[in-house]
Amino acid sequence: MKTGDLLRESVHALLANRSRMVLTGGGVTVGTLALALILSLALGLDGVIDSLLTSDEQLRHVMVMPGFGTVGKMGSVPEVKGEMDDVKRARLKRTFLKRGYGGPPFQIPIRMIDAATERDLAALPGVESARAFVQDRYGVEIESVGNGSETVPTLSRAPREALSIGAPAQHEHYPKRLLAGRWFTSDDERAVVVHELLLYEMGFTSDAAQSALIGRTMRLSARAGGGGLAAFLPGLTAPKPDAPPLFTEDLEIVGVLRERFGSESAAFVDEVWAMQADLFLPQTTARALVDRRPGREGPRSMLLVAKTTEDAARVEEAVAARGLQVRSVREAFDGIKKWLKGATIVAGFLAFVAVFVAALGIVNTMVMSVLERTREIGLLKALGATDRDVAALFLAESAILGLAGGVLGIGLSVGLGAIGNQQGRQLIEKATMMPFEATLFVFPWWLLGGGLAFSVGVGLIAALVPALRAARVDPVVALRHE
Amino acid sequence: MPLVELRGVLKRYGRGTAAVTALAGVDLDVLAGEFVAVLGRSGSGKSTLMNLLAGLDRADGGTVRVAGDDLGALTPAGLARYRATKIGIVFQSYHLLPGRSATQNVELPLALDGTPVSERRRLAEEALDAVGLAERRDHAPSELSGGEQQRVAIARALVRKPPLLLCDEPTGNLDSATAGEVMEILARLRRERGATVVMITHEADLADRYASRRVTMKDGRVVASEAVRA
Repeated sequence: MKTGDLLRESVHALLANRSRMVLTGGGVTVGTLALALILSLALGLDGVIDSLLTSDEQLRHVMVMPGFGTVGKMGSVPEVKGEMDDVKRARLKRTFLKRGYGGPPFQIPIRMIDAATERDLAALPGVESARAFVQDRYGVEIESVGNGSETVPTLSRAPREALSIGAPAQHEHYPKRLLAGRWFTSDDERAVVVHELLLYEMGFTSDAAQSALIGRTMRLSARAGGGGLAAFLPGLTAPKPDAPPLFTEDLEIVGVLRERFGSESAAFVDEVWAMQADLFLPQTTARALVDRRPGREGPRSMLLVAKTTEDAARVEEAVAARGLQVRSVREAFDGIKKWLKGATIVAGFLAFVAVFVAALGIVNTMVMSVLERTREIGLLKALGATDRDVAALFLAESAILGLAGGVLGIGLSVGLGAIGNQQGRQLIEKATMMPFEATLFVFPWWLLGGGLAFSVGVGLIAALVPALRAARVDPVVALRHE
Repeated sequence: MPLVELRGVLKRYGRGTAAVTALAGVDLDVLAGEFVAVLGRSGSGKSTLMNLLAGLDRADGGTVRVAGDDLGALTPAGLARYRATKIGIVFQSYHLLPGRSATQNVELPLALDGTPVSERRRLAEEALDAVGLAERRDHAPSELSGGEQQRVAIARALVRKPPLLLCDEPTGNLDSATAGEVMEILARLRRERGATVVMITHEADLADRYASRRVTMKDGRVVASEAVRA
C-alpha cells in the first residue's frame, strides 16, 4: 500500500468516529501542552539566570556579611499543670506556643566585620581585590538652579532621606549609565553622582533640568539614627528630621545616573547592593563620611573578588571559617540552578503522567478500533492486504492522532507561553520594581520539532500492540465476526 | 492443465478427541472458463474448501494448486500476493465498507496494490459498468439495494481481472428475482470474459440454471461431479 493511500485510509477511519478521535486527540493535546510549557519555562528560567550573570568575573565575587548565631536553646513548652479540663489545658498550651515558648532560638549577628577583620579578609590568599560596602542615609539639599532672577541662592530639599553607597572610580557599568556629567576620577574625590529618581522627586523632572545640576553643590546632612543598621532596615530606627545634624558635607554634583534598563549588562552584586541607592559617592569619600558617625567601626559587608573561580571557593571557605556569613553569585547560581532542575524534574514528571494517560487513551481507542473493525481487517486481508499493510494502517491512524494532538498542543503552548511572558513580565516588574525584559517561556525550534516528534512517537508506541493484534487477525474468523 | 487442482486435501479443526475433520481427502479439478457450483449441506466442507481456495486458510494435507501456485508452499506474504492477483472473492454478506461510495469500494483492492489513482478510477468505473451499476457509482452501500450491493461486491472482485472468481453463497441474502439477476451477471462474465467461477450455494436450481458443473460434497468429500450444461 502506498503512503498516500495509507494516510487517506487512516484519515477516513478516524473521521468515521469523530467524537472518539476528538477525545483521544484532546488527551494528546493536553499532554503535549503540559510538557512543552514546562520545558519552555525551564529553558526560559535557565536563560534568565544566565543573563543575570553577564560575565565570569561575577563568579569570582564573594560577598561577606556579619555572622549570625543562635542565642538560647530550642525551648520546650512548659507543662500545663493543675486541675482543669482538657480543653482549657490544650488552650493554655497553645497560648504558650503562640507566645514563643518552645519556639526556635533567636538568630542575631554575633560576628561583625571590624577594621581588623576587614584587613584580614583583604589579605586572604587568592583575593584579588576587596571592597567594603558602605551605605548610609543623608538628608539632601541642592543649591537652587533658579531662573537667574534670584539674587540669593536658595536650596532645594529632598522630600526624604537619601540612601548613599560608595562606589569605585574604576567601574565597568556605572559610567555607561550616566545621563549627564561624568563618573568619578578617583576614589577620594569630593563628588557625588545622583540617581535620576531622587532628582525627579525633588522636582527636576526632565533630563535637561537634571543635567543643569552638574557642577552645583549638594549638602548631605547626617542625623542620628539614619545610619548603621537603619541603612539596611529603613523605618526601624527612623532618623528625626528636625534633630540637628551630626555633621554636614558639601559635595559637587558631577553626574546624573539613570536606572539600569532591560537586559543591560550589570554586576549582580552591585545590582543587589545599589538597588535603592540615590547617591553614589567615591568609595573612600563614602567610607570617610560613614566613619564620622560615632560608634562606627568597619563596614557592614564586603565584596571580595577572587583571582579565579577556584580561588573563590577557597575564599568562601576561609571566610566561613571566621564565623562570617558568605554569599556568592556562584553559590546562589548553583542553588537556583539546582532548585530549577529539581522543579523541572517534578513538573516534567507530572507532564509525563499527562502524556502517559494520553497514551493509554490512544491504546484504548486503537484496541476498540481493532475490535470494531475486525470484519474490515478480514476483508482487507481477503483482498490481498499483508499483515504489514494492516499493522501500518493502525499505526498511521495513531500517528496522525498523535500529530494532530501534538500540533494543537504545541500551538496552544506557544499561545499560552506568549500570554505567560506578558503577564509574568508585568508581575515580576510589579514585584521587583525593576524592568524585566527576559523571556520566561522560550520555544526554540528543537522544542517545537521535538514536541511534534514526541507526540507522534507516543502515538506510534501506544498503537504498537493493537496494530500487531490487528495484523494477526485470522481473516476466516474476522469475516465471520458480527 | 486445470486452473484449480486439489489432490487429497485434508483439513481438521481442533485437537485430540475434539478434532473435527472438515475435508477428508478432496480431489477436484476446475478448468479455465468453467462455472462450478459446489453444493452440500451445512458441515459438508464447502466453506472450508472455499477458504483454502481463497488462500485464507491452509490445508493440513494434500495439495491445493491454483493458477500455477502451490498454496501450501507460499509464505504469508506470498498468500497475500496470491489473493491480490489470482482470485476475486464475493461474499454472502457483501462486506462493503460503509461510508464509502460504490466506486471507492471497488477501488479498494487497487489501492492495496498501489495502482495509480487515475488508473484506479478508470478500472473501477469499468467494473461497475460491467455489473450494470455505472449510474449508481457515487452511492454509499446504505443507499443501495441488496442486489446492487452484491453487484458492487462482484465489481470489486473483478476489478483486478483475476483468473478465478470465488463466490461464497452470493445469493444467500437475496430474494429469488434479485438472486437471478446476480447469477445472470456471473454467467455473463463467464461468457463474455471467460471468467472461471467457483461458487458455493445451497440453491440447486440456481446451480442447474447457471453453472456448467455441479459438485456435491458430503462429510468432507466430493461425492458427485456432474456437468450441467454443455
